[in-house]
Amino acid sequence: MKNIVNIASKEFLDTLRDRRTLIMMIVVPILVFPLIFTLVTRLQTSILEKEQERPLLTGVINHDPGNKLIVFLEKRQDVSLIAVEDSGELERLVRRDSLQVGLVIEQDFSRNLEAMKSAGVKVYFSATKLTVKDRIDRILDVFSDQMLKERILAKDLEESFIHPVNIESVNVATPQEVLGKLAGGFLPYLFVIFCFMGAMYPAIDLFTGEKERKTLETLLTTPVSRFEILVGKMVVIVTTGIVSAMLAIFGLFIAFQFIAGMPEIITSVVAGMLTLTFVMLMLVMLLPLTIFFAGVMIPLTIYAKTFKEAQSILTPLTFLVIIPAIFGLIPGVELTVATALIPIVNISLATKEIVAGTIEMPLLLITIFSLVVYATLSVLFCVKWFGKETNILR
Amino acid sequence: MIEVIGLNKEFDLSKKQMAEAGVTTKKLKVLDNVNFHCQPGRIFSLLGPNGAGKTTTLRIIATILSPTSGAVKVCGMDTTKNGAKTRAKIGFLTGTTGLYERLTPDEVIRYYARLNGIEKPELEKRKDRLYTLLDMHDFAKKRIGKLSTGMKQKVSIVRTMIHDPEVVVFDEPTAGLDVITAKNIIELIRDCRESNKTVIFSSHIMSEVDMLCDDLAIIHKGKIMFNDTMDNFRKNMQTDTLTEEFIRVVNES
Repeated sequence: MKNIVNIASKEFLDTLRDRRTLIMMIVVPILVFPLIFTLVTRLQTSILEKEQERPLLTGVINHDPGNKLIVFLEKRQDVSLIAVEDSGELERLVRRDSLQVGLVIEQDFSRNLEAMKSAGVKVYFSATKLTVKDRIDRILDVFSDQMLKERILAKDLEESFIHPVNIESVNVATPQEVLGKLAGGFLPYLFVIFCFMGAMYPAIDLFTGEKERKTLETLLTTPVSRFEILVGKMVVIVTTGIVSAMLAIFGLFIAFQFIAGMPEIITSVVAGMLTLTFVMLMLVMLLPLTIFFAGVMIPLTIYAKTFKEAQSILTPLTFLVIIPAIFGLIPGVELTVATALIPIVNISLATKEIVAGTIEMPLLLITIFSLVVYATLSVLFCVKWFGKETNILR
Repeated sequence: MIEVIGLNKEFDLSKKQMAEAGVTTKKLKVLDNVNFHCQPGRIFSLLGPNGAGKTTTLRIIATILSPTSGAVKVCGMDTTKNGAKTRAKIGFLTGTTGLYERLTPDEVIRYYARLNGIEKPELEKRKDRLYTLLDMHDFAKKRIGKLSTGMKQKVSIVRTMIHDPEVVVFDEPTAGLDVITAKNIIELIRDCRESNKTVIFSSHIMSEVDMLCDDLAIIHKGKIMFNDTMDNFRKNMQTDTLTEEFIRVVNES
């Protein structure tokens, strides 16, 4: 035990002086989400503000000044009308971004409206401009509602006439459940990746790096056993992986809590999630997962001769980690006995359930148990691999 | 004291390694019935061309590798049965020994001392003596990455000697070093003899061996071709120079 502590403390000291590991372990996970969310919310707000400030440049075919729709649109500050001759020209102008939207008002629009029939308007828009269709739809809906009210009044009807069934919906899911089921899968996806990447650089440095620097041979001539060397180094790799993952989660919470523009429902649910139980549950699952990651990485880093070779072997593995982590994002994939046995998929789905507050204890225990089994198997394989002289001195 | 008795070592080859070595068998015999003894207070040299099996022999003595058959005894202990106890008696230094560049000499020495079970008061005493001997106090707290090759080699020497080993193994210790740094190593080897330590060092340079060694073994293709005192080697020479004699012995095989 004393030797394991000695090796781990030296490796911690060495690792904490490695700028590359520090960036991957601390700086990136803690800053990435606040930065991304700040940028996205600022960008979104500024785009929306700009859009709302600028009148919607609208081309119109059949620009009849007596038409009720034209009168309605001309009164609005948020619409700017331009008469266009034919629909081909209108389509071309919308496609070229000279116009944001085009309206083709049918010839008999006013007559149909008077006759209480449906009056047709064709809307030309580009789906690449995300907010334009919504804006024109909202404006036309206001006009349509006005016309409807006029007709109801003209026919001397109650408003309930057009609403024969009054539907009232009651959402029984709590905001936490909704957020958990919809976005809860995002959380494990992120921390699984950060956990893997946070452990990757120290793993390469502590094994391949030691081989490349030719310090491994001298370390092997000390009275310390190979098992103690392996465990001492593994402690550091696992710790960096867990710290990265926890910092990524912490960064995410900071992003949700302190960045202006987040919907209040999200911030309040997220604030409620950050409890001691949540953090402990995360740690209980993250610990065996990170040991499993370390157990997979270490044999590969022992096998590699150079830092570059190790990097080129381990980097593609990130994709193998991402694929099962994505399961948490797929709607309809639930935590069952079967999925609780698949590594990464299980932690991904279990976290989603924990966030939603709907986790079932037996499934959580199966998840933790299977993660512990995978971690143990990977450690046993590591011990065997590190004990083989041809692997170490390859 | 080191006793090497009927030592054999075979490596398993991968297909790629078989193709590189130009062999058709999966096993490569690198040591073939190697026998020799190294006495305390004497310098034993293992001389041989590149790929002769020197490093493999020294790695087996240091328990980094295990023998396929045969035995190695260090201070009377069988290395395969008492790996950790054997390593506690050994100091190991190579010419390409690496150090942790992000640590300081002090931190590296403390680390190896702890791994060798040296208590703090004893460590401070030994460290101070070795630092003074090698004039290391000025750079003991600087990062190793910022030190010169000579300074680094001094750190390696202290790392090797901090636990006061009874047996010191030098694997081509001057390879790739400049003359001044190599001189430090030569002095260290002589100091070890004077302190009655068992010293084994491998080399492919005859002049270095001539300067230092008391006992000599010439190894070629994993077999011991000559094993006697350096005096007897000189006495029974059939050629004009030591280098020529070494080449003659190797070619005779």
